[in-house]
This record gives sequence, C-alpha cells and structure tokens, in this order.
Amino acid sequence: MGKLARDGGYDAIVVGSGISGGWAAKELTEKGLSVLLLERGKPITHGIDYIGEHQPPWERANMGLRPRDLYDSEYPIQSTSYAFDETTRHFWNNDAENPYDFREDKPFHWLRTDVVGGRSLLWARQSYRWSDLDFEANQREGIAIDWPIRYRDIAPWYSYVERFVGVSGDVQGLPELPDGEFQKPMEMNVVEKHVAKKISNAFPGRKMFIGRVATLTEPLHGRAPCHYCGPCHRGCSGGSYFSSLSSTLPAAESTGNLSLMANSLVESLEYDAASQKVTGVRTIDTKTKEKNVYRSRLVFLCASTIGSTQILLNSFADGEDRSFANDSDALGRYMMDHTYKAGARGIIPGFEEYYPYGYRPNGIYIPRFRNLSGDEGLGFSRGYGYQGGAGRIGWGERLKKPGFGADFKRELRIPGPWYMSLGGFGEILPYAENTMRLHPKKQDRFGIPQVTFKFEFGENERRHRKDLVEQGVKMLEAAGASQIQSYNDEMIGGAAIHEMGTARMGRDPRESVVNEYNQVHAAENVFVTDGACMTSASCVNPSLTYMALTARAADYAVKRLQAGDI
Amino acid sequence: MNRREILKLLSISLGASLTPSIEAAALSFKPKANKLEGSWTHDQREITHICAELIMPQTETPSALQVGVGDFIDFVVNSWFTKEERKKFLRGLDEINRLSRKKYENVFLSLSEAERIELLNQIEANGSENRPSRKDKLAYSSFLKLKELTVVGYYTSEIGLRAERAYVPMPGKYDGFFRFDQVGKQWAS
Ligand SMILES: Cc1cc2nc3c(=O)[nH]c(=O)nc-3n(C[C@H](O)[C@H](O)[C@H](O)COP(=O)(O)OP(=O)(O)OC[C@H]3O[C@@H](n4cnc5c(N)ncnc54)[C@H](O)[C@@H]3O)c2cc1C
Ligand code: SF4
Repeated sequence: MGKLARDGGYDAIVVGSGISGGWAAKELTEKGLSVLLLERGKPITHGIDYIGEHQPPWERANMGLRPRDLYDSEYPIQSTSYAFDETTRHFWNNDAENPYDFREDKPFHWLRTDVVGGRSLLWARQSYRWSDLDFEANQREGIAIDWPIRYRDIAPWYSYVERFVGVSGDVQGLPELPDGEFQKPMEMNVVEKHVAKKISNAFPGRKMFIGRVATLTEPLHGRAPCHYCGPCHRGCSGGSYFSSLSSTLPAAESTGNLSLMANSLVESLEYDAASQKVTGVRTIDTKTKEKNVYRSRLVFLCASTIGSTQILLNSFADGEDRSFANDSDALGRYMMDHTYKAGARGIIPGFEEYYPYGYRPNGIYIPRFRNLSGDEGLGFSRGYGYQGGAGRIGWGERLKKPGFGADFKRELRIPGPWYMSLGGFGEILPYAENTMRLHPKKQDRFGIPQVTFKFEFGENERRHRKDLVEQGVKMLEAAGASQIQSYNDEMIGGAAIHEMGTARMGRDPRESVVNEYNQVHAAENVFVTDGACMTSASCVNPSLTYMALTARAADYAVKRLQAGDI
Repeated sequence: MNRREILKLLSISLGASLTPSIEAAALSFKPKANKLEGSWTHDQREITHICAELIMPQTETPSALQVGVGDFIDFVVNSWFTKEERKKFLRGLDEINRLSRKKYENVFLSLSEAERIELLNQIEANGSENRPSRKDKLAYSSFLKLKELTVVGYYTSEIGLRAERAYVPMPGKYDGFFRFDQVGKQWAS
C-alpha cells in the first residue's frame, strides 16, 4: 500500500487504469502525491497473463476455432472486434454480465475491457499528433464550440509523453500531421514503397508512409525493442509496445506512492455543493458487492469516455436528481467516434519473388488531404486518413480453385499475389443529439443505471465516406492495382473504438463540462482527462492526445494543489 | 474429442500460472462436446476421412490422417458445426454417395482409389460450373468444406504445420524485401 495523506485519505484518486489512468497515476505519484488507483477490472500480471503470447497454433484452445455459441450468448458486442478470440477473451468485458442499452436499429458498439490496464493491452498503438487544423476546425466552421487550447499548448506535452511511450515513425514535415519525438521508423515493404511512389506521382500533395506506432524499434527504460512476433493484442511480455502494464503502472509503482485496487467499480462521486468539491469516491467491490467511500483531495476520472461520463451522470449533490456536473446540458451529448470500415483493396501484379519476413505490428498511413486550406467545395467538411498495407494473400487463394492431391498440397505452399488495402478513418462532427444517458429503468447487477446510447451518423459523414472510397479506388488504380474492390460497410457508432466527446472542454461553463486544463467547471478538484473531454474528433487515432492532455492536466492540478488553490 | 479432453487441451494452452480469475473464465467456456454425436453414420465419417487423405496425401511430408486431421474433422462435425451446417454438410456427403452409385453402381467406400479421385474431380468440375444443378452444388459445397477442414486441420497440427509451413515464433526483425525462395513455403501464423 502507498502512503496515506495526513487526513487518512489519499492525495489523489485515479479512476481507471487504462491509457489515460496509467498516465495520471504515473504523473501524480512521480510528483510525490499518494495515489489510489481504482479499477473495475480483474487484476492481471504483466507477462504471466498473456496466455496467447507466442502460443503455437497447435496449442490453441478449442483447436483454434471460435466457440461461437459462447460468443453469441456472452460476448455479442466484444466479439465483433478483430482483436477478440480465445487468446484475448480474458481481457474483454462480458456483455451478458455487464450489459448496456441501445436501439436495435441504431446500434452502438461499446468495446471495452475488464482488466487492469484497460484497452492499453489491446490497442493497435497507432499514434498521431493533432494540429491546429483540428483544434481550430470548430471555430472556423461555426460548429459546436471552440477548443480552448491550440497546438502550441499541447505540443510540449506530446513531446513529453512520446519520449516515455516510445513512438517509432518517419519525420515528414507536414503541418497537418506534426512530427513527434520518434524512434527509428519501421520499414515499408517492397510493394508499399512502390505504391507510395505511384500515389505521390499521380496525386501531388498526397503522401503514404509507414505508420507512427507506440512500439519500440530501440530499447527504452528497460523495455525491449520489438521482435516482430505478433499479433500484439495477445500481450507482449518484453514490453515492446506501450501499455499501462509495460510502462506507466511500473513507473508509478516504483515511486512507492501507488495503491492499486482492482475489482473496484466506481459508482459515483460524493459532491458537496457548498464547497463545490467532490469529497469522496463511492465504490463497489465487484466480487463481494461491498460498498466503500474513499477520500482524496484530487480526483482524476480516467475511466474511458463512456465510463467517466457514466460516473458523472450518476453523481448528484444532496437532494438533487441531476448530475452536479451538467449545468451546461453538454454532459452525455456530442458523442463522436470515427467512421470506419470503408475503403478499397486490390491486387498489385508482380513482385512475386518477394515475401516479407516477420510480423510487422504496423501498417502504412496516408494523412488527411481534404479541406486542408479551408472548404474545398467537396460537399463535406474536414476529412479522413487511410491506414492499411500490402501483403501476400495466404493459402485461402489456392483453396478456392479446383484440384486436390499431391500437387494441391505442394501449391498450397506458395503464397497468393500481393494485395494492397486502404481503410479510412474519418472525422465525425459533434452533434448534440448523439448521446449517452442513464437508462431510467434498466440497472446492472450492482444497481447502477445502465448506459443507453442514441447515435446516428450525419450527412457529412456519409459524404466523406463516399469520397474516401472513391479516392481509395483512384489511388489503387494509379498504383496499377487490378481486381479493385471497394467497400462501405454498415456504419456503427463506437465500432472504430474511438468514442469521445461527452464531457467536452470549453471556456464557458454554460456550454462545456471541463475547462482548458480538463478541470470540471463545477468541481475544481475533479479532472476528466480521457476521451470524454474532446470537443471535436480530428480523424487521427486519439489515444496519444489523451496521454498528452492527462500529463498536462496532472501538472496543472499539482501546481494548483501546492499553491493551495484546490 | 470429449469434454474432458477439450478441458485438458485448454489447460495445456493456458499453462499453470494463472490468476484464478482467468482460469475461471477459461473454464466457464464449456464446449458442448459431442452434442450431436451419434447422428452421423460410420459411413459418413469414413467418407470424410478418406477424402481428407485424398486431398492431402502422403508426399515427402505426412498425409492428412497421419497428422491428426481425422480428429479435427470429428471435432468440427460433432461439436462445432451448428445443426443446420451439419445437416447440409451430411446431405452433401450423401449426395457424393449417390453420385458414386449412379456412376459406378457402388457406394463411395467400395470404390477403388482411382475411381474416388475420378468422381471427386467430376464433382469439382460440375460444381464449379456456371450454373450447377442443385444436387451438384450440394455435393460440391460439402467437398469444398472438406478441403477447407483438411487444410485447416493440417495446419493446426504440430507435425503438419512444421512440415508444410515455416514456423518462426520470434522472427527478430522485419524484412519487407525478403525473397520467397529463401523459405519456399508460407509462414505459419
Ligand atoms: C482493438 C483496439 C484497437 C485500438 N487501436 C487504437 C490505435 O491504434 N490508436 C489509438 O489511438 N487508439 C486505439 N484504440 C483505442 C484506445 O484503446 C483507447 O482510445 C484508449 O484505451 C482510451 O484510454 P482510456 O484510458 O480513456 O480508456 P481505457 O483504456 O479503456 O481504460 C479505462 C479503464 O477504466 C476502467 N473503468 C471504466 N469504468 C470504471 C468505473 N466505473 N470504475 C472503475 N474503473 C472503471 C476500465 O475497466 C478501464 O480499465 C484501440 C482500441 C481497441 C480495443
Ligand atoms: S510484434 Fe513486437 S510489440 Fe508485438 S507482441 Fe511481438 S515483440 Fe511485442
């Protein structure tokens, strides 16, 4: 157990041990605060509990086949993720045990874990900085409210977190996608290099390069460089990819100031209207259902966008029936995600003498090229970027053709042709009608109101998707691809797992939940530093930004605390 | 494969050093072992095993049955297929038998190896035609499924995987310009 503060409580309580909470715990403990980290999920041991890591195919549970009945009955939402199978199931939430509500005709996928470390264990580690193109977008277009911060406010914090996280990537000098403090980049393969050249030749201003990824290519703080074994979501005992378990939690632990309590679900915050402060954090032990209240001077909500918003929605001042943090009516509104599952792929002829060696836990990136200099008259605002890669089609290709016997068996050894795929992530605008609320009747097994979602895509999203599919096809054509197939699958909220925006940041307490330092307007000792604070969504993967905002907020909070202002 | 064997398989793959929570999660998955056992005939099962052996015969590497594909097919048919998938699959096998009787006046199991190969080639040719008849399609789709199960089963076995694919659990580097002739087979994932 860590140190107790003078009054028998802690200096700070952090809720959630995922990407944001890991950072909050690290920063606050390193600044000398005693920290209680509360996590609803099960305890997990780095390395030991990565049961799928390096597991040979012949040892897989269920002969490597998905137990479909179980997935349908207990994991209908989580099993939609590419990263869900028997090697990772123990990380994920059980949907039957911990349900939520949405309209069947407007599905919302809440993809979440139920372990210490949160989704930092499963994430794909793509890490990109925002630019002022993103921070100024709302103001420029008169949409929602303006961000109270700009790139210059967060840039030093990006550098600060990147140096600890270890992000490998290529310096490109693009104003719309600022460079970071990179370790040496991973390598594009022979076909990706070919396609990249063809794309920039045919489309001046468009660039394709290796992804920026929170996976080490050089040693860092006792973590080993990647040995290209993959897939990473099974866990990485060498700590080559950034997770709370490989990086922030050990750092926090080594200060001696951290107390971590797993199986501790935060139900709500105890709010004192007179002092405008939160005075306690109410928890439920998920094993025994025992209730407790923990006290601290500071509270950092890092329970993920939906988790933190749910806690705030469920926290009232005495005698009130409405969240203390919702005078603005913005709490639970403006839910965003990214559009996902649209793009194109095709066959790249030739190059058959090449067959990449090693599992590269990374792909290519094509940054946003639309509306960079204002409204370009495309019929939609903002834009999208592509992720993807080139590889050779596996034995499934041979399987489809007739023939069997000795020749068939030999031919199965030869990989199929090269494919190149480009999948888009597009920016979703903040709409007041896209909400998460507490269900008036449905409760979970602890008596906490379930979250209910109402989420719809707008015309802007439909239009940029159409464009991103068309441009994907055009770029593949320029690269000489054949058999090009475009796809534009059903749009499902939450499916990109970049949900954000339900306790947005703003200058004015009448229209936002937190201020420019992630401090709740209505409670100066509470900070919300996960995706809930996002005022717009950009089109790049968001987690690096959550990390930078968390470190920045921790720095501010401790300074205020030391100055006696909180 | 019975339930105990599956649990054993699970415990091998999970190792000994588990936190209780995770072990509990793994054990809470109870495959409905042999939920449909007894509802495919000895002959139907025999057809699948014979076909597997024809699909991936012994060459310089072992045959399908030698690496345990038979167990894999049994597991899939008995425990993994849904009722509908299984029904359709077995109807396709019966159709293979019917075609055999029609062509050779003999059930599939009594054909010579040359006849079996001839028949299965015919089934593939007719089934992959532009507009196959409903029955041709049925036989063809079961044979295709068998091809898939044979290949997947082969690649899930240790001996088969090591023989036919290149298994490198810790590559140590990424080389995007690696040449295929340096390995000569597909990587195992
Ligand atoms: C398969 C996959 C791929 C992804 N790829 C990328 C990517 O490439 N790049 C990227 O930027 N992002 C990616 N993401 C998204 C990324 O994982 C999230 O943005 C990130 O984890 C958010 O961090 P967080 O700390 O806010 O939430 P989380 O990491 O989810 O952590 C929140 C923690 O809070 C706990 N918690 C929730 N409610 C409570 C409560 N009431 N009481 C106590 N504890 C609670 C949860 O159990 C969890 O451990 C991916 C996600 C997945 C699943
Ligand atoms: S590919 Fe690299 S980061 Fe991923 S699990 Fe293997 S060593 Fe770790």
